[in-house]
Amino acid sequence: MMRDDKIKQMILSAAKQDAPDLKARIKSDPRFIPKQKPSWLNVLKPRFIPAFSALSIILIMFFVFFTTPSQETIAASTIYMEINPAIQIDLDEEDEVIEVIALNEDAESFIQFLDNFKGKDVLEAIDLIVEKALAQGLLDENRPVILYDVVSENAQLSTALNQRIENKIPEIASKRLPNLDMFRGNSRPHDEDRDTPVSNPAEIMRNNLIRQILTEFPDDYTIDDLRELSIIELRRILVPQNGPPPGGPGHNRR
Amino acid sequence: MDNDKINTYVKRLKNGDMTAFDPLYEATKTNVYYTILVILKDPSLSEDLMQDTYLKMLDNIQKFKPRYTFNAWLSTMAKNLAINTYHRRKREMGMPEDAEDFLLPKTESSAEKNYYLTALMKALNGEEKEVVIRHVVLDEKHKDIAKAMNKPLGTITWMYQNALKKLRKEAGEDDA
Repeated sequence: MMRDDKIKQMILSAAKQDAPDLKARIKSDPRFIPKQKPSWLNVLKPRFIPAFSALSIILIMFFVFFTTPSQETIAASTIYMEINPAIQIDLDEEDEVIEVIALNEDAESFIQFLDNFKGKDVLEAIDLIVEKALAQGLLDENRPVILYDVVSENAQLSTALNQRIENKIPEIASKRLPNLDMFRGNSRPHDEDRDTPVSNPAEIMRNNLIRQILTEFPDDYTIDDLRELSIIELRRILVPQNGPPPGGPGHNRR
Repeated sequence: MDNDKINTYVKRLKNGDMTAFDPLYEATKTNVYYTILVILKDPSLSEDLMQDTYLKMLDNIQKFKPRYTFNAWLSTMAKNLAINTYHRRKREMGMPEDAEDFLLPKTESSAEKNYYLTALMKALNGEEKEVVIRHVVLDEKHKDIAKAMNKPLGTITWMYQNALKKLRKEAGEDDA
């Protein structure tokens, strides 16, 4: 009897043979021109980079030792957004972006499509993230859901920031996606989860959403029912759109 | 082709050396094509999206950072384009029922070409083909396949094992 690894090799080989050869077709497309770095860089590179590098190091050392505080910028508040991918946005006291961080593997590709966000106001950043997510096909009218949370050690800052975001959502929706459903979750681990190994805030928000459903519909769902559902599906249980949610209230799934 | 070699070609492409495109295409075409095909289930449409994927890659090549995996980056691009197209076509014209033989283009010219994967997996139904392609060709985990196909994990595991059994039987009969 043939071994599985030999079967798998046969499948891989057949798949590779069947994958179409579109090179000629792609090259004949007028869009077949890679975006290149500006040509002036190519001219300057061999001549001036060493000099610029040395000057840059001197300037950086000057600013580090003589002007800026010695401590690194610490986020005054943080926003977690679960669009699938999941991202984290660190903000300073002025609600301006310090850094955008990928919270899962899918997000590592996604944040590469985000232009430099550092220094942008949080609302502008969120608007651009929604725009890019739409362009990437991560959001559309059938999948309009974003789960987010705002955290800060300063409760006043967090409340004010959340209010700003809530006030901005309708504007983003009317501009980008009319049925956008951007709702606040909870990224703080529940007491029952404090000892579990889950540390990713996006995962914690998801777990807390599941916990909310189990609390509101104790007779209708088990944790196994909900564990594999997407954020959209979980949200539809709490906020049905068209008709009853999947296995909704009254449907005994135990 | 290993990641370091791929990154070398990517770097050349970033610098405008278009001779790097061919080897990069050959190294990634299988992943890109089947990533799209398992979503759209239409080989002709998948070829169109595949072309768009590579053109979009060229448009965004300067944004790629070598610390990421190029294959994964490109596959994500392909997947997002395919998902977008799937939803748009579903809205506009309703997607057809999943075909048992979604690997085979429905054109006259398809009769001229040998389709090795179709021949290899002729004993499998449409869903089994999809599970096998996702797991073996695209290296997806069973739990991710279950999520994508909206089926329980146990069903996917069983379908995969059943598919392998059928393939072993076909190969065993061919070898006899």
